[in-house]
Amino acid sequence: MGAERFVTAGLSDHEARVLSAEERRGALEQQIFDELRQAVLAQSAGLRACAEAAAQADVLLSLAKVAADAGWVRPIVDDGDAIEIAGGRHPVVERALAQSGDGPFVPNDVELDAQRRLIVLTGPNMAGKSTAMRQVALIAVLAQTGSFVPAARARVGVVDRLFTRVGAADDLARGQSTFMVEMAECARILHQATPRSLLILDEVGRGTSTFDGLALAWAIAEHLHDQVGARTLFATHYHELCDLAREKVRAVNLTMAVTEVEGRVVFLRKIVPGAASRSYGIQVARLAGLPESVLRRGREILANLEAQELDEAGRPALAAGRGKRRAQLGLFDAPAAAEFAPAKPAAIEDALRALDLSRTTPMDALLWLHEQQKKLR
Amino acid sequence: MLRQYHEAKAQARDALLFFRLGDFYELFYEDARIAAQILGITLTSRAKGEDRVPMAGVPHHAAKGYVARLVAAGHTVAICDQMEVPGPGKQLVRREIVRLVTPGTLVDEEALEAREPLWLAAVACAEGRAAVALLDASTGELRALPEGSMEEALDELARVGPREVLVSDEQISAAARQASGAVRAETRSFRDAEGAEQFLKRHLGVATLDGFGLRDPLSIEAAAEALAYLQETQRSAAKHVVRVAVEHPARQLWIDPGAVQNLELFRGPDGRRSGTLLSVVDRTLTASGGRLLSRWLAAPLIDLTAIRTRQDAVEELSQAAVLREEIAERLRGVLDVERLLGRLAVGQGTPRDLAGLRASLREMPALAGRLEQCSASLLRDLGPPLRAPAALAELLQRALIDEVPAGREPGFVRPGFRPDLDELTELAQGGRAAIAAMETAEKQRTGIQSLKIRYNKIFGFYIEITKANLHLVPQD
Repeated sequence: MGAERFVTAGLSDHEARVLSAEERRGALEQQIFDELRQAVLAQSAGLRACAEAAAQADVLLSLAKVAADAGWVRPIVDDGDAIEIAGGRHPVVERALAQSGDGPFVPNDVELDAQRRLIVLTGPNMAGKSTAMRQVALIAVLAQTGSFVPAARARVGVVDRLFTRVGAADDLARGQSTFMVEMAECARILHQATPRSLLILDEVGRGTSTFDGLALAWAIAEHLHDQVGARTLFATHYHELCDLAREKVRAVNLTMAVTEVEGRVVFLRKIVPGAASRSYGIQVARLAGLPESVLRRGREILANLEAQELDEAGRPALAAGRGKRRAQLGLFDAPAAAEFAPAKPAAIEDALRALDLSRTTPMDALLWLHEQQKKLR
Repeated sequence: MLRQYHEAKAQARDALLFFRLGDFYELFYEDARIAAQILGITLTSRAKGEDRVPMAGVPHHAAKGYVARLVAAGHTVAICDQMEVPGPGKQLVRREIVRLVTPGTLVDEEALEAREPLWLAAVACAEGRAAVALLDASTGELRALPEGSMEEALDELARVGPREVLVSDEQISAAARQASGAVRAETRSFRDAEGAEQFLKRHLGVATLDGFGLRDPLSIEAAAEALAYLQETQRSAAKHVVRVAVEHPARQLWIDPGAVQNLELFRGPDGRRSGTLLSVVDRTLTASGGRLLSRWLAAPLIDLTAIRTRQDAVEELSQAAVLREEIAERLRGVLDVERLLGRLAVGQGTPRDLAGLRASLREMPALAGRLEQCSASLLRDLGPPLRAPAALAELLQRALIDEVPAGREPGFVRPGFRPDLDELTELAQGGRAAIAAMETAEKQRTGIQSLKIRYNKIFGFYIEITKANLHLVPQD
């Protein structure tokens, strides 16, 4: 059916208005958006306060849900200087165990107070030292955040600073620079910690040779006990350090319970009073699949060491039965202190002058200082 | 056009210039090479032969993602947009740099982790002393630390992990960047203490900074510089920065940076969140809540009253499962108000953000009602601030339609909110009422009952008259 098109003046006008209306509408909407935006921004402060209130409700709700679902308890937080945890658990490890179905988490008790400032925690690797110590730190953090904590009962005397120093397993492989990092961190802790601080030190001194490491671990633990007085958990595989706790009034020995079943080591993951009499290193090595011949030789050397310990020069009688070759325990040689420290007690200035710093490692320097101080005392 | 480019590039300095050409953002010269390498896009050239200009481009609608990648690589990007609609008769449209995107000021929603803060740090130092200020551009949170040793400043950077660091002294630039793990550090000349104080007072609308507890000159300098940088890069007044909070490390449980890492509070050795303390306690329902929980864990309290106040609230909620569910129900409807406010403040917001704000504010009165029933003071005290923006919620409800379209699509205003807009809308949609009136008038005038006014894209509006009625058509 045919039709024709006509345009009137009125219609053209209308068309022009429609097209410009499109543009003007866009502009007006933009203007309204800007006005609304300004109205919102004018109330920025109130809106931020409102958003923050909602966020707080959300956080408190989250903490409450966790407390209710995971069976956490309200800790007593006070200004005493104790940390007492009964049936404490590591929240992350506990959850991981629950999810994988690998048995229940073994809760632990830890008590630090005025009489017990330094806990020396011994026990073989893999026995759960790190987990046991970290859970103390985590419980303190949670308690002071206002959260409930994974424990049967807990009291936390407010902590002002929290430090940890954990020797990485590969420290030794990465050499001395890593050891420098470790010592720098220790220095920092010794300087910054206060009696109200909580310190977690795990395998301090591991980054260097056995004797250096043991000497430093001892000196650091002693300083923390005598000078700093911070609440300290000190885990070590040097069971020699247990002697420190026997000597110091405010230090106690705890150990990770281990039992042997048919020559195989079983970790109970329970903290008990006392010291690890041995490190079970060889048993752990067996678990790791080291050849029987190596394990046998290891046991032989261990027997030598345990029989003779150290001679007066501090050298182990390790090489017994292997000819005259001197054992080298360290990866790098530390010259004996006597080599550069004159014996005259009054001659500390001479000794200082004689010290060739360009040939002195930080370790040498520390040992030298230690030596000089001993002489002066 | 290239002259315009060079002018813009001179302003952008070392930022990569995203130069808008039609539907693309183009990069030229060295910028093009850098972008091509990082983004894996093709490097072409504009002219041939001697005048070859290396060039690389990205479609404008996908630009955000490319910008985010360049910024994550430690670059800054200057966005140069067309300020006029290109049309016939316009040889060259006006172009301007509308903002500078930097690692510490990238507030784009898609590029941000919802539950992590976006810190920009400023470190002011003089004579071995230093102070750090932290600004989250996405939420407007500004924090300043008191003056301390350089070591303490670096510790704070290590603890917070800002994306970008501004330093007042070139010599500490490398150390600051290393300690913080920031992808970018910039040395700038900071305002002096007096200038900084004036600047902050003006922005915050206060006569003195004492109310915020902000007194140390270096802290003031650092806070001012962070804010000034945000304003400069975003070309915006940054009105969402409404206060500065002074944080005293001595009033918190100070967790050594090494311990934060060691205890795996926020990240595992692989950098992931799973298997951390945060992952166990974070059951928050909102992104703001998630960020606040991280902040609480990073800075536990030492004030006994404050700790017990929180404990009271947690205890009460832990014993009331029904109340917990009621509160949760309301929180599920709350969006990230802080960040959408941030986007609006720096001029990147959309009507959708206004709608998000409206939806969130709608939940607040009921949330306040639940919390006000509690006996724990901390919960009860949340009521008033939650109720405060009620008038704004009402305004947004009147102004916006129920389903606001995404992006910058028109048509988000509720009919009846603005009569002048309704008129234009009606007109723009073809003015149906006017057309109907005109149609009736023409029918009466001509006596053609089958007369119709139609519209198509080629002819525009026209009157259609069947051949049978042509004899009735008048001259005009």
